[in-house]
Amino acid sequence: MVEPPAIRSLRTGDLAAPAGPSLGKKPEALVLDSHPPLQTSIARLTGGAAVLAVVGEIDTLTAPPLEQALRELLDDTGADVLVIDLTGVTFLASSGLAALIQGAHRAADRNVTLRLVPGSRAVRRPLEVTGSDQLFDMYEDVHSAVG
Amino acid sequence: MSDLGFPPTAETLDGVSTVEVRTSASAALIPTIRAVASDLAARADFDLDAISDLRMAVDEACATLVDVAAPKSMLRCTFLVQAEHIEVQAEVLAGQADAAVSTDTFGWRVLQTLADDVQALRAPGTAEIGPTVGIRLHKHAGEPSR
Repeated sequence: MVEPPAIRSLRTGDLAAPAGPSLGKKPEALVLDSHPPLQTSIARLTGGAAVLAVVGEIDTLTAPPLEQALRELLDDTGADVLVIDLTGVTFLASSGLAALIQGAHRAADRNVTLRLVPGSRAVRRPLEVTGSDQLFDMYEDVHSAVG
Repeated sequence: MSDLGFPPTAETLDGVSTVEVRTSASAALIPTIRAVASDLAARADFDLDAISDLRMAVDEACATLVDVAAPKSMLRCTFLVQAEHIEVQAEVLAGQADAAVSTDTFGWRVLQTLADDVQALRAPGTAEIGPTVGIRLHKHAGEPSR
């Protein structure tokens, strides 16, 4: 029998978070995390374009890092054109859509052209079914988006 | 945890395939639940857009409920798989007595778009069990040729 761990001022927010400091206090507990991490990488191209490549699943846990990556990129880069390459994304939740929409508004405020490469149905369908595709210039592949 | 009266009793199910998934009410486990949703829809011959929609709708429903769940509680997600149609009910024990599913959010609007029908549910607590909140949604299989 495993002793149930003591509950001490745990908030709902703590449970929603991935294994963090609050869970680190009980190393004997196995925290099953079926959540693959989201990977982002940035390439700056000559000619004022930058490409943000995203790989993984964008949901309630991984949307905040994406939002942050987009914000930093739009704030600090001198790029006129930002391409978001989503061909490696296998799931897009409403929280991910919200991050992309917020990115579109930020880009518009900064006169940056935002281009989206949705790739698979997993990204294309959520954009289309919610009408969010109207906010973006969509491209078939990164090559044509940059060109 | 069956305050919301779901699923129906075995007598009334009449051969409907039922799948129930229970996890800790943690966002980290939602990928597992949405994978089950996706698998069931694919096996029920849903078209590819309908599979994508159901996967996203179930994700959205579960994420919404995990946000209001009591600490250390469970998320229960029940799928009733019928011909041409899947009904899903997700529920959690609420963290607060007055907890409810917010229906004025972007996520809820997306959920309404994805599902053919969606309802927010709640049941008051009793002496034995706390208040329960849930979401029930329906999704049709779509066009089989697509």
